[in-house]
Order: sequence, then structure tokens, then C-alpha cells
Amino acid sequence: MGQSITKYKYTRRISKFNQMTITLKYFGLLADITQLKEEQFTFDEDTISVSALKSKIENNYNNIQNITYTISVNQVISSLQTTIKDQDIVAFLPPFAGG
Amino acid sequence: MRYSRQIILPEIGEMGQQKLQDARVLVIGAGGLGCPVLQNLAAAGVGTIGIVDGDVVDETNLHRQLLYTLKDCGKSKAGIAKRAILELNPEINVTAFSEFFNGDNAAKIVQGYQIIVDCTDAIPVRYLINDVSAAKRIPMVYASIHKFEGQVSVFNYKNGPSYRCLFPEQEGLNAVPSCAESGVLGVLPNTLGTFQATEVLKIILGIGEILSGKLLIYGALHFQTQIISFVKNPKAVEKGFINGTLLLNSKRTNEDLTPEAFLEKCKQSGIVIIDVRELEETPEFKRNNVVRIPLSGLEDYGKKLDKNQEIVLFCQTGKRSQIALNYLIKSGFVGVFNLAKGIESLKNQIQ
Repeated sequence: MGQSITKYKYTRRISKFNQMTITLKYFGLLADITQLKEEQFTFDEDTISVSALKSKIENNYNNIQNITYTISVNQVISSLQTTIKDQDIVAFLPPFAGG
Repeated sequence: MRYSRQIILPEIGEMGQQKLQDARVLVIGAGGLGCPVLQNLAAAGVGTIGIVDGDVVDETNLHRQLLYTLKDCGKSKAGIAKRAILELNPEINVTAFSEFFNGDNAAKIVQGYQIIVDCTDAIPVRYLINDVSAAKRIPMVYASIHKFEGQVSVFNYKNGPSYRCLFPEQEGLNAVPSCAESGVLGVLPNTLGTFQATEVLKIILGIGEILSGKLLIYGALHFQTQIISFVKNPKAVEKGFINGTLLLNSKRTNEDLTPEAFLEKCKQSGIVIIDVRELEETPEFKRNNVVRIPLSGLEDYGKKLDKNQEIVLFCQTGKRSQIALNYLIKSGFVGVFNLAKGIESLKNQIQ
């Protein structure tokens, strides 16, 4: 994954196509489901809305849609309309229950 | 003298120690988070501490709940925790509430406290604590854990954002496991509880920057912390405030109904009567406002209802409707009634 990102960053400079790469971070139950702490995504778009990203992720991983979570973009809690740009860091944050 | 090492700090001093002495803090949940919170607040000299927990000590708690020992197993956590922190510091006042915090006892318990520390392990009660805290305009110091990770924040602090601003909907929250189901590294709640105690002391002393509008996420495995900020959502805050105010002000009438009282209640307009039996069970109780929602479907159905909606529950013998009543109250409903002995007790009344 990391390698392809590096490659992409290089091609981006010389490419006329618009692309964006973002980092997704998963917490709690969402990390359990995705089996990942974080991953990177590249899209052939300039920007993507939080709601569009949410649908893409929910398509990628079954069971995520059954979980309540909040999404932050660059460490600020977002709304579904928030726009995500190239190099943004997006975190998927479920409430924890344990005490 | 006991507090000299903190009084020597210019940020605290004799005046700060007096503030601690005068402070009244309610700790809800005396488990993994509650134990370190209680130990630290007692040690620091917080003058009045309330402990709420309806549970008893279990051997599986001992790897993380350091106030308890093997010989405490089977005994009330609130009671044992009270004894343990009084041994640590006999100069403070401690009240133990050996009951689970719920809509029925909330008003009685929170009376007189200035800060609530949420050390619970269930999401519905967290909304309840938030709403009570919002209505009383006192801060709620929150933490929660999952395996090797934890979250900390302070809600309703000086009119700041609430828990509902961060996690607005209750839908699907049954999917979130507690420690018993998912496991937890014993040291983790101790770390997070100590963070909570730190915020409590800062709030009392009026020093530093409080985690209001900020969610601290701590990951023990990779030693990562990050702070996510969030803003106040006035509608979410208001929802909690209204729920909490209704709860605290209502002469709560969640209660068991006799057959006569049940039939009388059913005539009341605007009421929803829920038959929580399975769909094939008889006899049928026919009224316009009766819906048949078996217990398994109640969670989904409850989400569609306003928390102030008055609800009458019944089943065959009163057992399932009691479970349903407890669930709805925990979810924040304020007017729930239950036909105590079930539809069997109605036999003489219905034709």
C-alpha cells in the first residue's frame, strides 16, 4: 500500500488527471471489523464528501453500517457534507462502551 | 501533613486545597474506571464523594479494579469502595449508593453534587448521565475503553458541548461491546480513570485547560494519543437538557399497574400500549392504540418513539414487560407503565 502511494505521489505531479489520496484511521470496534488501524485510499477526484466516503467504506466492509460512529477530518468532527481533500486524515470513531 | 506536596504547588496552595475539601463529586460506576477515579479523588482530599454501583465484586474484576481484594467477592462494590477509600483518607465524606443509576433514582442521587464522573460500561446510561448533567448544568467527566484503547472528554462544562454533540444517535449501539464481552487490558482503565481524575481536579481547582469540546483518544498498544475537537450542536444539547429536565422534575410514575389501573390507563389519550409477547400468543388484547412488538423488536421500535411518549407495557405474566420497562427507562423514557401480573391477571376484566 505504502509503495503504491509513493508511486502515486510521483505520478500525480506529472499527471493531468485529478486524484486524491487520504488516510483513514479506524478505532474501537471499527478497527476490529476492518482488521486495520489505518489505510490509504486514492480516488480519481479532487474532493469527496464525508457521506460519499462513508458509503464507499461501508461497501468495502460488511457490518460497518450496523455500527454507530462519528467521522473526523483532520482531527475535527465533521458533518456528512464536509469536503475531504487530498492528504486529509479521516478518522472513524465509534463510541466505546467499556468501563 | 497529608496534602503538603500538592499545597506546595503555586497552582493549588491552601486555597486550592480548600476548594478540593469543599467539592462534591459523584462517581457513577465503581469498576475499572471508577476505582482509580475514587482512589485519586479521595487521596487528593475531595471532601464529598458519592459512589454509585449496583454490582457486586467478582473475581474477574480483580485484574483491573484495584480497590477490591479476593475476600470482597460477592459484596457490594459501592460499599467496599467506600470502605477502601475511607481507609485511605478518613477525612472525607463518602456516600455509597448500592444501586444502578437509572431514570428512577437519578434525581435523588445527583442531588447536591457539582461534578459527575461517568465510569459506567453501558451506552444508554451514558445518555442518561449526559442529560441529567446538562439539565443540572454540571460537568460530566467521561471516559470509556475498548480493548487497548480509551476515550476521555468533558461534557456540559460551562455550557460546552455534550455527549450528544459527539455521538448524536443511539441507533445500533447494542453493537458496542462492554469489557465483559470484548476483553480489556487491566492497566488500561486505570490509565483512563486517572485521566478522568485529573480533569476532575482541574475543574475543581480552575487550572489548566479542560477537555471540553475535545475527545482524547489513547491507544496503549502503540502509545498514541490524539485529540479530536468537536463543536456544540445546539439541538443536541437542547435535547439532552429537555430530557434531563423532564426527568428531574417529573414526579416519576414509572410503575406497576393493577388490572383496574391498567384498563383505566388504556383509556387515556395519546398513550401507546405495547404488547411485548410473541405475535402468536393469545388472548389478544384489542384496542386501537395497541401495537404488538415482541421483546426482540423493542429496541428498534423504541427508537421511533419520543422519550416523553407515555407507554404502557404488558405481556403474559408481567415478566417480559418488566424487562421491557427496565430497558425503556434505561434508554431515557420517562413515562413507562407495566401491567404487573400480565394479561393473565386481566382474565376477569376482558370479555
